[in-house]
Amino acid sequence: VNDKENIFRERFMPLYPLLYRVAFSILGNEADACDAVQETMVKIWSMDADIGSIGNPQAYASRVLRTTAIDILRSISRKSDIVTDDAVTADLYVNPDDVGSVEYIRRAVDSLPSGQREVLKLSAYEGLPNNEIAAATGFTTDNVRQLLSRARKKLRTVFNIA
Amino acid sequence: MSNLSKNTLSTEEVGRLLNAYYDGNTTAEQENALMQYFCGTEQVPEQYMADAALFRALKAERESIGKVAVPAHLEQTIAKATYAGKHNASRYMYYMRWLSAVAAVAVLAVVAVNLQHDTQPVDTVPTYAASELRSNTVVSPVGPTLADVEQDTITSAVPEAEDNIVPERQVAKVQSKTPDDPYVEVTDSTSVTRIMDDVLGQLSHSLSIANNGVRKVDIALNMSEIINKALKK
Repeated sequence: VNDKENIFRERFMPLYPLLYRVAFSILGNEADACDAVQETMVKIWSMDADIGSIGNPQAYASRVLRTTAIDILRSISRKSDIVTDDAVTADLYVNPDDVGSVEYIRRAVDSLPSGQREVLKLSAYEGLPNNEIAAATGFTTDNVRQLLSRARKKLRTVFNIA
Repeated sequence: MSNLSKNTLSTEEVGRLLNAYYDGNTTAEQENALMQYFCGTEQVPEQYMADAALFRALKAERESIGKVAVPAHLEQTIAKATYAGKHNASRYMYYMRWLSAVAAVAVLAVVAVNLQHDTQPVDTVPTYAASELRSNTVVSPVGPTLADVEQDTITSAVPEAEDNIVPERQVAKVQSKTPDDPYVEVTDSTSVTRIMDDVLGQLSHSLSIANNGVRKVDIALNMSEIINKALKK
């Protein structure tokens, strides 16, 4: 138990600020991001396998975190989403007067249907390639490509009219 | 792919990469090249103005996320949810289990001592019965036995009778070999009845104490279970 605790504290605990920012980029608020990081750490701490055998703790923890954050995002989306992924032409809730602000792109991305929002955030903010986005979200790589295409085209429209 | 640096991207290449981008077909490297182009070039062709605005906004958001302050309580929260909380809980559980076990053993020990103390008279029942039997039927054995020799007080206490008839309601002949010896003999049936009543009374008392002890053990076990459940929560 002591060995496990030492390994956890040395290799995984220092990752929590990085994990928090990844969680924040996906979830967009402090409370949900904290929940995602805590849940991720508990998953790693509670796993049956030897955590000392994990070769790249950062990559491993990031993968667990992305899956966890996406799950949280989906549970939130189920409660609030009224737009389907097919609604490419649906309006995004942005104010053209805010076009130069960070708030503008944030509102636009948050207005996307949940699937598009997930893949766009992982692509634009985490810089993940399509296959890693597929691993994190459970979509096929072809689905990821389609969702990314719709999300990017839709975002471009809000900057085109601005 | 060095040809993707912003200095070497032609308008045509930007157009080609943008088409791939909006089809969801670009690599991370190609997206970085577009990002550098739109964020590092002030003179963006007119047809790419909307694309440039999009890339700049995404970059600004990415940078703002990188500057997000990590909540101060998060480290402590994670520690409590993992190694710190787990340890404390398991230590507490360990002590509580030992405490429960010690309490249960103590209760059982008290019950056992009470039972031993209270049921001691029960052991004399066969003695009373045996003496009763002997007094009625074998008061004067045909020939002396070893037991009779050893227990000369019995035979000497009972007067010799030629026809082996023992007077009814004979005054109890109760004797003890030594002052500390709990062994007693009674030949009077009235005394035997009284003694049996005493014995049954004491037996009943012992059983009620035992019952009380079992109830206490039951309560202790229930408490232990409640504590364990509370700890699991």
